[in-house]
Amino acid sequence: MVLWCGERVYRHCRQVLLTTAAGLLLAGCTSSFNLQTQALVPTPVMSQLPLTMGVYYDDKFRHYVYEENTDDRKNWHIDNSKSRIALFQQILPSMFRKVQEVSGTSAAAGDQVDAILSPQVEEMQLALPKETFSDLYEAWIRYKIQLFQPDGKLIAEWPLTGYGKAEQGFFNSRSKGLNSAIDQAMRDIGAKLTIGFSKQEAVRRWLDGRNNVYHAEAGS
Amino acid sequence: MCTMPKPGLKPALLLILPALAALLAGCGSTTVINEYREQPATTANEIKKNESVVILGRRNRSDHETEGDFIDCVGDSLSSGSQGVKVIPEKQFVDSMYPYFEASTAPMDVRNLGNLVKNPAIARKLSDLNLRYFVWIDGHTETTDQSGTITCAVGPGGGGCFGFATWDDEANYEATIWDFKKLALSGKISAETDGTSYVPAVIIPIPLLARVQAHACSSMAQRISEFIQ
Repeated sequence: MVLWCGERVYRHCRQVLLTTAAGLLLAGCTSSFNLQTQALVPTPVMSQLPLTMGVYYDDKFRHYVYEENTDDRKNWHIDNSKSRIALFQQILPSMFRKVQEVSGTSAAAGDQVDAILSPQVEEMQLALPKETFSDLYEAWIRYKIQLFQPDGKLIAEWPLTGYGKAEQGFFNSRSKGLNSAIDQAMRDIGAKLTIGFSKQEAVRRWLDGRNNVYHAEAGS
Repeated sequence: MCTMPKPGLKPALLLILPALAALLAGCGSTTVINEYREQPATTANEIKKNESVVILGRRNRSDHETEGDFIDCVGDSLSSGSQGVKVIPEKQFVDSMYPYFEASTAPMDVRNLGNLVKNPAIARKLSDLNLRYFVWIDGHTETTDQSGTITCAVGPGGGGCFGFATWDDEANYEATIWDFKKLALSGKISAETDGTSYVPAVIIPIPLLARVQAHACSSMAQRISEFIQ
C-alpha cells in the first residue's frame, strides 16, 4: 500500500484508508432497518355511486415515511408510499362513476367534480412478536378521510383505522412479517373505506341532499 | 449363517427396543370430534356435482390466528379422492369478494350473509361461483407444555447432540357450516387433537413427532365431507 501510494502521498493515503476503515467499522456497528412495502389490493365488488369524485393527495400523504430511532428500533425507516397511492387508485374507481385527481381541497377552474376526497396519514404503529409475547407481527395504520364540496367547504371527516397481522412462523423474517402485516392493514383500510363511505352520517346526509336535487331536477 | 450377538448387546437391545416402541406409541395423537346438525341429514342437504364449497378461516381474534395452512389442508383433503368436492381456494375467494370477506368485514352469522346477498353485485359474484356451502373454521394449534434439553457440541474429532426433549401440542378447531342455498346454519363440527412429540438425541437427534395439526385437519376434512355429501 505504501508503494502504491508513493512517498509523497503516503500520509494523505493513510488518512483516507484509516477514515474508510473506521467508517466501515462504524457502519458494521450501526444497525438500521429499511423496508419498502407495496401492497396489492384486489378490485372491490361494488356498485358505483353516480358521482365524479375529485381526489387530492397532499405532500405529507404522498411522502409519509414511518421513522423511529430508539434503543429497540435503531434507524427504522418504513416506506409504504407506493401502496398508499396505489390503494386509492385501485378502490376509488370502483366506488365512483368517475375519479379525477385534483390539486387542492377546492376545485380549480375546469375541474368538473361533485366533491373532493382527501386522505391523510395520522399514525402508524407496529408491534413485533417479542414485544407483545405473541406469535404475531402487527400493524395499525390510522388515516383521516376528509370530504369537501367543490368550493372547499368540509362535508365530512372521519377516522379510518386499518389493522393487519402476520404469523411469525419458523422462516418468517422481520421484514417479511412486518411487510405482510402492513399489507393486511392497507387492505383493511381499503375495505373499511369502500364499505363505510356511504354509512358516514354526514356523507349520507350529503348524498340524500344530492339525490333530492337530482330527483327535483329530473322531475321539472 | 448366523452370527452370535456380542455379549452385552442383547440386554441393551432388550432395554432400548421397548423404550423406542413406547416412545413411538406415545408420539401418536388422539382426536375427539363432535358434530351438531341443525336438521337431520337428508338428500336435500347433499352437495351436487356442479356445486362448490369454500373453506374460510376466522381471523378476527386478537389472541390467535386460524392458520392459513390448516385451511389449505382441509380444502385439499376435501377436494381429493373419488368423493372429492369442488373447493374454492380461500385466497381466490376472499380476493374475488373484496372487501366483504376481510377479517374485519366478513359476516359473523348467516343473517349477515343474507343481508350481504341483497347487494346485486355480491349476489351475482356468488351465483357465478355456484357456491353451496360456506365452512368457517376458527381455532389454532399451540404447544401447551415442553420439557427437557438437548445439548449439541462440535470438536476437532467430530460433533454430536445429547439429551432429550418433549412437548405437548393441542389443536382446537371448530367448523361452522352455512348452507348458502337455504341461507341457514347447517351445523357445527369441532375437532380437538392432542399429542406428545419426543426428540431423543444420542449423537444424532431423532425427532418422533406427533403430527397434531395434520391429524386435526384430516379428521375435520373427513367429517365435513360426510356432513355435506
